[in-house]
Amino acid sequence: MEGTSVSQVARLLMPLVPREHRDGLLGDLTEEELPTARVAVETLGVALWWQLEPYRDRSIRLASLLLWAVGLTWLRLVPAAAGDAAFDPTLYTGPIAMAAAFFWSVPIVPAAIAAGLSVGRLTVVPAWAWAVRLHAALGLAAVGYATANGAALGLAAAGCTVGAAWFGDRARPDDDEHRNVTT
Amino acid sequence: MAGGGLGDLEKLALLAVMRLGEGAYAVSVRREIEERTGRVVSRGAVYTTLDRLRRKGYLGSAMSEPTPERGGKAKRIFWVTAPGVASLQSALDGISSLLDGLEDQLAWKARA
Repeated sequence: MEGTSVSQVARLLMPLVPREHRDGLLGDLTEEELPTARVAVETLGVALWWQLEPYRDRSIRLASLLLWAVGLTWLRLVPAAAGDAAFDPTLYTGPIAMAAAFFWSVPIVPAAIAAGLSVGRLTVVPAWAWAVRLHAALGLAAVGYATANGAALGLAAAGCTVGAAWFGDRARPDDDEHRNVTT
Repeated sequence: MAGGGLGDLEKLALLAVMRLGEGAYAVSVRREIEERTGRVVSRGAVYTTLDRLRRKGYLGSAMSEPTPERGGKAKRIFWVTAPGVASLQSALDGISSLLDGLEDQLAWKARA
């Protein structure tokens, strides 16, 4: 099997493998000259093992629950606090005030941003256990989508959760070696 | 505590790395375990176990030079550290202690 085919199949799943192990895995698959289908299966298997690895640790399982609890709290608390606030442009003057009023009239969006930032920023999960943050971000994005008022807001909330989680992860001051941000 | 919490595959991986010496990387470790024990081990289990042992400080690792056979990719080479040896020794001592007196029942003899 051509080396190019190994790379094409395996690279699609590489974001699920820790960055420091990708070259080694690609090299191993190339060296063993596996058929294309087998490469895909093996890479998927390895990626799934890496995704589940952090949950072997009890403290990380608890930290995962904390991430979810904080995220879900934001997703509930902010819309509840905003109440029935509605955007009435005549009540505000100036672009900043109008933007803020609009922002608060769709409270699921700042809630999603807060949830995402919490997931990315909290240091209870070590950097190497980035899969836990990924799962929490995606799960909370789904919750944000489901609780939003309409598909458009739902997509905005989901996107804001994931984007804020990514941003929070990049801004978090801890060990960079294991950070798995795909840039 | 030395040896505390070493799982079954972790012990096998440490032993395989020790046996392989300088040539220990994921593929060779997996092959060594399968050939020596007859146990089929998934690639993902080997990768994550080796990395877990590295995080615990029981394995050291470094990237080798890339080679054409590997599509220009380097391999991650592993070696057992002193804490790894101590942990493995402790685990094996515990097993040996439990095996004491059971040779007849298990038809297994400790090597002299």
